[in-house]
Amino acid sequence: MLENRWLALGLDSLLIIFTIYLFFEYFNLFFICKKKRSYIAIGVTVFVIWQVEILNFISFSVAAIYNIGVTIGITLFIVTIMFEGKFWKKCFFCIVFDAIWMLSEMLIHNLLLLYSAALAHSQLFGSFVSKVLLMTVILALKKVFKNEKVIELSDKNSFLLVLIPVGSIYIMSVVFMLAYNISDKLAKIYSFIAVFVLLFINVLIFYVYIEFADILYVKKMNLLYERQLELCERHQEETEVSMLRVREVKHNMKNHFISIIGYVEKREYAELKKFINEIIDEGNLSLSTIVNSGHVVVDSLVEYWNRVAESQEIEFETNVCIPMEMPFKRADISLVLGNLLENAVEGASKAEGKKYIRLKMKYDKDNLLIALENNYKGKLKKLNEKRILTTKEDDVNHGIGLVSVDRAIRKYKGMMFIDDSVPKRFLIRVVLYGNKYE
Amino acid sequence: MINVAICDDDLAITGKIESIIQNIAKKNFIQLETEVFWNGKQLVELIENGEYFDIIFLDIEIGHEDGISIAKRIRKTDKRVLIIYVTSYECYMNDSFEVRPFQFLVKPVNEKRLEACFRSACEDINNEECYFRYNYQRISHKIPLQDILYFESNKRKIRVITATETFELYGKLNDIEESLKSSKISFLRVHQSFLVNYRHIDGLSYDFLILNNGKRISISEERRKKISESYCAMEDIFYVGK
Repeated sequence: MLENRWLALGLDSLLIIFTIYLFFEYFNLFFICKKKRSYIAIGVTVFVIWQVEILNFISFSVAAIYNIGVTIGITLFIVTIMFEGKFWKKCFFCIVFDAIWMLSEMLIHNLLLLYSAALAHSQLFGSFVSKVLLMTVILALKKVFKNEKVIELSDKNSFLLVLIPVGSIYIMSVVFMLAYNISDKLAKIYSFIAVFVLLFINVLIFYVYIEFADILYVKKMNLLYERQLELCERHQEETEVSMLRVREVKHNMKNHFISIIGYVEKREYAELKKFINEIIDEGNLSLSTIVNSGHVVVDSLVEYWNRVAESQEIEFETNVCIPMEMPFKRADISLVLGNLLENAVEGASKAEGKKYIRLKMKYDKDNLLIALENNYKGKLKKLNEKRILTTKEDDVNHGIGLVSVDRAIRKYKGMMFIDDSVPKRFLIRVVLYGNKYE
Repeated sequence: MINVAICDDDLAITGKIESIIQNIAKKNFIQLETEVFWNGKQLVELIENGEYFDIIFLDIEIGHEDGISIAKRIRKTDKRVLIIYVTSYECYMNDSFEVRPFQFLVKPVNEKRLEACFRSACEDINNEECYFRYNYQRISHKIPLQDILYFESNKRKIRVITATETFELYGKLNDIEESLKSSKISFLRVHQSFLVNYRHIDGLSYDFLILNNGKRISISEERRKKISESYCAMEDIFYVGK
């Protein structure tokens, strides 16, 4: 007898550990664990106590609503303690978790009632099998949600997706319950077929869903590439323009030298000095007028947007102190700077009064810092800290600006900060970490 | 009193810089002492012998000498001096960033830019005259803020580390952080138990930093965003066309 009790206890604790594992597997999919160990310890303790004393908490004599309420309440409490995130999101995933769990238990119970009445009364066996089922569902969800492309999808889509297994489990348990109550011999076979059809549909829907996510992802990437191509084209234009300018300077130089020879021959040295000074000051000697950092991408981008800005009567100030070579990919720099400048010009062009853009770039301790300031009109729409909704009409195409900047920045562990504390002034600061000290 | 060294082999440039900053100093009642060097070797030797300058205007190419290696030698002895590069081209070499230049000036020197640059340098220097005061064992102490590398807390004790010495006191890092907010020198709380002087940071990445005495301190995860933000905000205080 004693041995049996020890065995039962051991099995029970194994089951509880299994449950805790499932719990973490599930919630880690959607939330991030809190850093403090003490919170996690409290959460796990509450969870264990709840599992051990479950029969004391839940009695079948009271209304089912009460039992469900208690279960969800406790899960929610544990999740709130252990994980970061928004409360309503936690509520949702707690309910889903409990729903999946309860339904899988119900399903197993009905299934056992139907096929093997003896096993149906063993609590241990039922609880184990239902947890295995729960695990299968969670692993399937994990496979889908760890997919990078799926992460890109909106929360709404993910919510809908979670509803599919929940609904299926419910349908299955109803099917089994009905089959049990009907005294038709074929009911067993029909219900079994129904399970397989439902399972098949579930798998199929997951496939369709992933495919759907794929398409959305490709669409989004296409938009990004389109933009990058545009930037490349602009860069090309810029290079052509500067080529032409070099040719012009060469031509002018020849003429200048002829004049210099003339002055020398006439020995008019004072005049010569004045002439040479003139050439230095305004003779188009420096190739680009606004920045000349030597970094081709930065120079041409700034040059391009400077011209656009000037055509719209926006004052454009720059202070660029960067080396020719930086530990960042040119494509990323072009993406970041191009998008920021485009936004700035766009914003400033609609501003009232004196329009301005101020660009500061600095290379410091192997990190690149960009600060861009412009004035604008109207109000910013904010979604959250990172995303600012575009004020433009066609927001499918335009909203991606800052998002793609953010993506490029994240590659370098960098960050982006938007300062809108001063009205009518938009200041965005970006840092990219070069990180060469490893 | 601000000591300025101007190092360039071009007489016209040194003369121009000198006269411009003398004028600015006169206008703003700043006491100024300038010294002109026509080669870098002389300047480096003087600094290595203990001469102190607040600002150095340095040509990147002084005749056949290479301004960057001169800057590096200067940095070895003097970690605080503000180095302003004067260069004929804007294509800055990667190496030139290693010595933490204060600013770049492009030849021919633009008067407005030079003035903005010199003013901000002066502001920077004037901000240094502050002390950290505390009592320990009933004796009050003071340490110049700019000498402090970092504060480190260990339970109730706080260690103050400078380049040469370490001091101890009882207190809370939170209180010290609060009290230093009003000072002009920026201290970054990169970790629960570290408060670091920004001036002495040699290398900075998203998750750790290296001080100029070689000490490596990691930035705790929940503070990274905040630190990045202050870093951005701090480094963009250079003066555009002001």
